[in-house]
Amino acid sequence: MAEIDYSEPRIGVFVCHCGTNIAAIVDVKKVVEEVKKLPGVVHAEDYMYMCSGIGQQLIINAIREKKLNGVVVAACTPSLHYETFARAVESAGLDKQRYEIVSIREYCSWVHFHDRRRATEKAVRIIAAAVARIRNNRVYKPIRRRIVKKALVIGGGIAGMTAAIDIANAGIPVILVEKEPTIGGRMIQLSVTFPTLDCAQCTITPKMAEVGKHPNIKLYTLSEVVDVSGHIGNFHVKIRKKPRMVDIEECRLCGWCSNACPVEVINEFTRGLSKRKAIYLPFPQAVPAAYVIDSEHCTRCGMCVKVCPVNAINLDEKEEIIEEDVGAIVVATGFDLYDGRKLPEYGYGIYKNVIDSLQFEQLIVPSGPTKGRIVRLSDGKPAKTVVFIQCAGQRDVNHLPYCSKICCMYTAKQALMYKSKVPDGKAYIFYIDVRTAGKGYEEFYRKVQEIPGITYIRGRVGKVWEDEDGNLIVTGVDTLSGELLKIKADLVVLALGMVPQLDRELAAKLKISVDENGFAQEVHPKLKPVETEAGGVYIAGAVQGPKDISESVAQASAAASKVIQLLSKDYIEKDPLVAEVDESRCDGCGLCVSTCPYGAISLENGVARVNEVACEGCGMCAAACPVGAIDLRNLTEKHFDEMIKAIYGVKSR
Amino acid sequence: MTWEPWLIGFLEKWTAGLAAESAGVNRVRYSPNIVLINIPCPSRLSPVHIVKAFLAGADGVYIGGSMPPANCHYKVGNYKTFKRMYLLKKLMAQFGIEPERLRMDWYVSPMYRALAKNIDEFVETIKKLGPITSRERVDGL
Repeated sequence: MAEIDYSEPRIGVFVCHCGTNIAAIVDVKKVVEEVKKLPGVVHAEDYMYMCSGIGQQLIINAIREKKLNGVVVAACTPSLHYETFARAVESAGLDKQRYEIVSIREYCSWVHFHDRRRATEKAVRIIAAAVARIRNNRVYKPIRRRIVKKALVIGGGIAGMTAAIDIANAGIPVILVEKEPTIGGRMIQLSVTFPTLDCAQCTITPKMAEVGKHPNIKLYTLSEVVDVSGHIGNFHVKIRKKPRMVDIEECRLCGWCSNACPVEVINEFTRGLSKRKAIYLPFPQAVPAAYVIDSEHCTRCGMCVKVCPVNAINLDEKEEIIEEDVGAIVVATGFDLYDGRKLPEYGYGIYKNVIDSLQFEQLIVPSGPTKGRIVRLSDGKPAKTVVFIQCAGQRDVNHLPYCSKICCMYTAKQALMYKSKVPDGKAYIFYIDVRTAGKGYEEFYRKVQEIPGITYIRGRVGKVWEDEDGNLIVTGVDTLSGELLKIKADLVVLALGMVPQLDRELAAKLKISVDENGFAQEVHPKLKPVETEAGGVYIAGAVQGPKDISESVAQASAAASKVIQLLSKDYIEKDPLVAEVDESRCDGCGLCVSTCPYGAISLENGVARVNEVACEGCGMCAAACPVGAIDLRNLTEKHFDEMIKAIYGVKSR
Repeated sequence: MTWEPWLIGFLEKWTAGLAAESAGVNRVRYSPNIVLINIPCPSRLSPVHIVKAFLAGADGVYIGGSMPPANCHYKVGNYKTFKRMYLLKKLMAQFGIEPERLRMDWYVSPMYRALAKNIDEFVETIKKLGPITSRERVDGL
């Protein structure tokens, strides 16, 4: 292939119609006509779908035939198709630093549909700025960085465990960080899973055991990621490990410590339905299989230390900060239930017999706090009537605007399980819509709907209160018949929505963005569902959006495969767009050294020197330099000058 | 033809730039009289760039950065930008350019509605101020 000559600008502009997404608003033909007049532009054309094979071929042909040395694509957002066109221009021998994609869809046609004339003019200005930029872009050699062949998975639920196992099976060491004393996540709290009614614990415990004994997985429980620095291929993370105070290797699970412990607190594993001691085993199949001391409630009385037959307890254990280098990160921090106390009309947190769906799961589990009997929590009498309220706090602008997707199915499952345990009981399910998209889901729902004693009522519950006898009175409207209903119930179960468990601070440290509802934002909902804006950081499970177990597992495997792809390489090429020093101008004042947030600049022999690997390319130093000796590659002073001039050089019509 | 303003906006691509993208995806309309340019970090902008934009014909300059304290992709870029532009605003009056012609807002990526609203507000402000009258004088500086 002939070498491309970069001396004189020969720029081609390719304007996409995006079907009618752009062309219906922006006068594409007019744009092409105007763009041809821009300095440096030797070729401009439009096409229906530039991203299609034919569209890409148009670009490749033009580069070859017109001897282009710069390409501007005006289409959708770079986050969608930057790579697509980068590959196309590179296949024609053009360096991708001389190519740019600018959005005239998200940034123009989709937001200015009310004003076609100005939208067209704006599109021309956007392209003019891009052309000015490309005209001045130089081609730099990429910077190579070594990849650390190790991955970090945050969250030990079903998604995190699946990702960790998949990555570890590929021979890559994995660090799994879980904030609870055991892995297992939400799934271990469930009774059975829909639609097959498999026992959830039996499904997940082999996985937990596999994580626990996998030679490539290093498990940190009671731990949280507190700091993340670095970039794709080379992250440095700090993990805070809270003291467990029990030696995992030594503990024999005899339970003497727990019997001796005088402190009783609420058990969060059963969501408050039972008590536990301050030294406890979260549940019998916990991994790591060892007791743990709840340092918040422990009084340091030392009773457990006295009775422990193997001297596994050390009350003086301190918090540790562990530092690790990893090449990729999977975020699988999962979900929590929406706080039911924000729905006072349903009486959650006020009446003992109003419970959430996870508490109901604990009532079904044979090993649960009631040994699998479904009873009123206030007095332990059997629950003969149960009212399920779906969409509690969901699809409601005052609470959660979205649908949590799984509640219709688990409510059907819970009603079925209830009927199998209390055959003469009555279950009422208040719903708005029943959504059962999924393999075998609709069939399952049909089956449940036909069981005598389970009544589906379309409508919303107005209020729940308790009468003198301790029964709950549920009032609501059946919106199909228009009837007002009043049901006397023993238990009310709220299908509370899923809220993401993603600390905003952690998200900021990982440099991933979150959406309006706090879920981690994927790069593209259809095509890049596990990638995030931060390269090398992937998301899996309910932290990205409400999903059921099978979807979480599928997404976790997808994230794992992305990690394996990344870590199978030895080097990663870093964008060479870093700061550059003009040594003849630098007077060694050192202002840039103190400005740089990465410590990437140092003074050597009286002039500033940039560490290319550490430089992130923000340009803070370039703006600070009083003599203009330091500049950001391909975003130089000249770039700004010409971009601004180009935008205002376009004639208004 | 009646005068209409053309503004230039610099958006931090990790937050404000994503917000602008979401505004598109969600079809939130706003005034077209602004050309938005994504840059890695607004701290790349020196006051000189802003003044040059005014000289080149910008009727207003907009900066969309990341919401303090923890959202800056480059740790402290938002603070740096704020300090520099705050000082520039003080100077602008002396050049004969109204300080209101430079506006900064801070975003996290879901704030696309705020972005659209802020841009509309800003364009309205500039429409009220009218063209920069002292541009020729400044040009001759």
